[in-house]
Amino acid sequence: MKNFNEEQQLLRDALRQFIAKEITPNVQEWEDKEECPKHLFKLMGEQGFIGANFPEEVGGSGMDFWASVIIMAELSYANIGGFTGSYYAHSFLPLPLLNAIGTTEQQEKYLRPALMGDQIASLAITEPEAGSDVKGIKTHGEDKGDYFLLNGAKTFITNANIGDFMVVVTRTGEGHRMTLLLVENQWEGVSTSPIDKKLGWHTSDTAQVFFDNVKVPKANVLGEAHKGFYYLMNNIQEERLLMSVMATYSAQYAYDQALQYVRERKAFGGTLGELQVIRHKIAHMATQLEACRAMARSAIESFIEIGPKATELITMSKVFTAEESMKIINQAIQVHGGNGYVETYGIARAWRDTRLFSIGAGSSEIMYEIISKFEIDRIKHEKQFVESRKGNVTA
Amino acid sequence: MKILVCITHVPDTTSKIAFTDNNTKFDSSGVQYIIGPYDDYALARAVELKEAHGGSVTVLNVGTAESEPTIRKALAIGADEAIRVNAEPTDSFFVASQIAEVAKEGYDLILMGRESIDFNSGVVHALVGEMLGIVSVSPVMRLEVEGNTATMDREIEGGKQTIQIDLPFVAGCQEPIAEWKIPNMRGIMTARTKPLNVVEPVGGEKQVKLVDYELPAAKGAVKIVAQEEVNELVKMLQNEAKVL
Ligand SMILES: Cc1cc2nc3c(=O)[nH]c(=O)nc-3n(C[C@H](O)[C@H](O)[C@H](O)COP(=O)(O)OP(=O)(O)OC[C@H]3O[C@@H](n4cnc5c(N)ncnc54)[C@H](O)[C@@H]3O)c2cc1C
Ligand SMILES: Cc1cc2nc3c(=O)[nH]c(=O)nc-3n(C[C@H](O)[C@H](O)[C@H](O)COP(=O)(O)OP(=O)(O)OC[C@H]3O[C@@H](n4cnc5c(N)ncnc54)[C@H](O)[C@@H]3O)c2cc1C
Repeated sequence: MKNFNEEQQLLRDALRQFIAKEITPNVQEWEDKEECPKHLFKLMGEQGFIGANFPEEVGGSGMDFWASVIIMAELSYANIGGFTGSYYAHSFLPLPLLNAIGTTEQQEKYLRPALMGDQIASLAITEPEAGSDVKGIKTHGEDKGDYFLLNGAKTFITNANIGDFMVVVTRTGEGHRMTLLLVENQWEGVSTSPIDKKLGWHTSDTAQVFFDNVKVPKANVLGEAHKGFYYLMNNIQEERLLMSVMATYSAQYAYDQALQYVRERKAFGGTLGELQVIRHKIAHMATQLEACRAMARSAIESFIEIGPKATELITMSKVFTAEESMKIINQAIQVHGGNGYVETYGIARAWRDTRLFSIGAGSSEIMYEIISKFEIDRIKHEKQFVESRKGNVTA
Repeated sequence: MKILVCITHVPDTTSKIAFTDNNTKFDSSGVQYIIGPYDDYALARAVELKEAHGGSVTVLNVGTAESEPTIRKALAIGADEAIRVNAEPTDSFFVASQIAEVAKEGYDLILMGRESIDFNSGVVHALVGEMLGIVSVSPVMRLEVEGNTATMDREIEGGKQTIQIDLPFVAGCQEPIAEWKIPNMRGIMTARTKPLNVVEPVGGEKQVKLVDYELPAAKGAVKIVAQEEVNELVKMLQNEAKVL
């Protein structure tokens, strides 16, 4: 995606070596069992592969944002969308919030072990009756003086069955007044149940979560009370940007497979790659892929420069790569013929795992809503973020 | 304990091999380079020994500036410093002379791979041992050091031999002496701050002249012979393959 410096190259090579040793030989087995390889968190944590761009003071490695890009690209290219999703939902949803707005105590108690892979985390926003409409959440925290009394339910929460703690988006007033609460999964009143039989992300854990009179001490309020919505909106830019990287490199994987296949597969006295229709398909896919990479790279560079204020470009990159990657993978299945439709060739997995990217972290429809506000209503970035705290992790 | 690990900078084992300039040059375009896999075992064991007994690990490569990313990787894996002898490594004797020159500094242990994976001669360790007047052993599958004495398992035809020698010596290593180490973030972040000293080669005329390269003949088609046609198979082995 860019000319990497020495450290970035070393990181990329180390990840490739790690993936080849610990992940690739086992993917099919985990897929078949529909099981999240939880032990990988520990292995990756020991290597320093979680939160590589977090400051050293909190347990990170102090690299820049490109480190996260490289990690997400390499994992996505490994075609294990489920675990990649779990890793992402741990490393880039709750943890950047803890890094940006957590107290030192919260960082020591939750962030440090999470970066080591000793604890697994979730971010719980979505509810049975509120997904895209975050303001519609009902999970409620009643202020009882030294604690919040938490009641409600969340759904589609990645890592919550296997996890140790979560950042729960809680209504603590009208409208935008929401509070982020750090809740431990083992606390009394917290229960989870797995959401099985997903279309894809088979090696990821997805849960419904229930809160029944859970006492959350005030020490576990993340950031200032009632400002949760703004913290979330700030953090979600990084999340969407990295999903854009995931989409692009899942498509890159499928494209590379397709390219190899058409060069080798014999048909009509030659190879598929000699047939003009197929040649043009490949050319079209390559062009789409290059557009995804260019879009993602420009959003990444902008994010590194101005942080979450790069909202419009990030939003465009998220929706574009989510939609285009699906088209590329769809064509990769097409050139594989029947082999594209079975598990052995891996393309089928890439297809179902990638399908999530136009739904999760803000659906494509919502992305277009945001872009149209920038374009037609000319909203200003500054206005949108006026209430949020400056100095997001990577800003 | 001062350990010297000699590493090669070689094409990745999955590289497609091709030649240019009338088959006199290896075509390195698009080729990924790695630490020689056997050298990588030697390095991993060296880092383990350092962690267990203290001391330092120096990596040495005889090569051009193109080897530097590979040398940095060795530093990220855990070596403390690196030396690059700035020369095209085109001859085992020449390479061994350069290594011996550096090793004269005095190392307790000189670890190498059992062989390079580009030219696979498997002779540099023996040459270096000879040049330094110390013992060289290869291929070493296990290496323990206690005080001034090392215990090793060496692979021999049909089994293994356990030997003990006093330091210093040269060893050509192979699996399962240690597991390859994957650089961690700490290693990656500190690799750049570690010294990589470039020294010029000493004398040592090159003795090998390369004439040209040739790829082995492509594999022929596979013939499948049914179980009940064993006689047919024997005939084919006699008349076609001419191996019986
Ligand atoms: C595998 C998986 C993992 C997930 N992990 C997490 C997690 O870790 N944490 C978490 O909080 N959530 C998670 N989610 C939830 C995900 O973020 C939501 O599914 C997503 O935000 C969409 O919300 P929804 O499902 O309620 O759909 P809805 O909001 O009900 O949307 C349904 C459809 O209506 C469209 N729509 C909605 N509003 C509008 C509008 N205003 N204009 C036009 N169209 C609109 C949507 O685009 C969509 O197509 C996960 C989901 C999945 C499937
Ligand atoms: C004609 C010719 C041209 C060549 N051209 C090049 C070239 O352009 N670029 C290139 O990189 N190589 C080149 N090589 C290969 C390079 O010369 C070999 O690395 C060197 O000859 C030793 O190879 P070997 O097979 O004898 O090593 P072996 O004896 O099989 O190696 C045993 C061990 O010795 C150590 N060792 C070997 N070589 C080195 C080294 N260079 N530095 C540090 N430790 C070492 C390693 O630990 C290795 O595992 C060329 C070789 C020949 C013969």
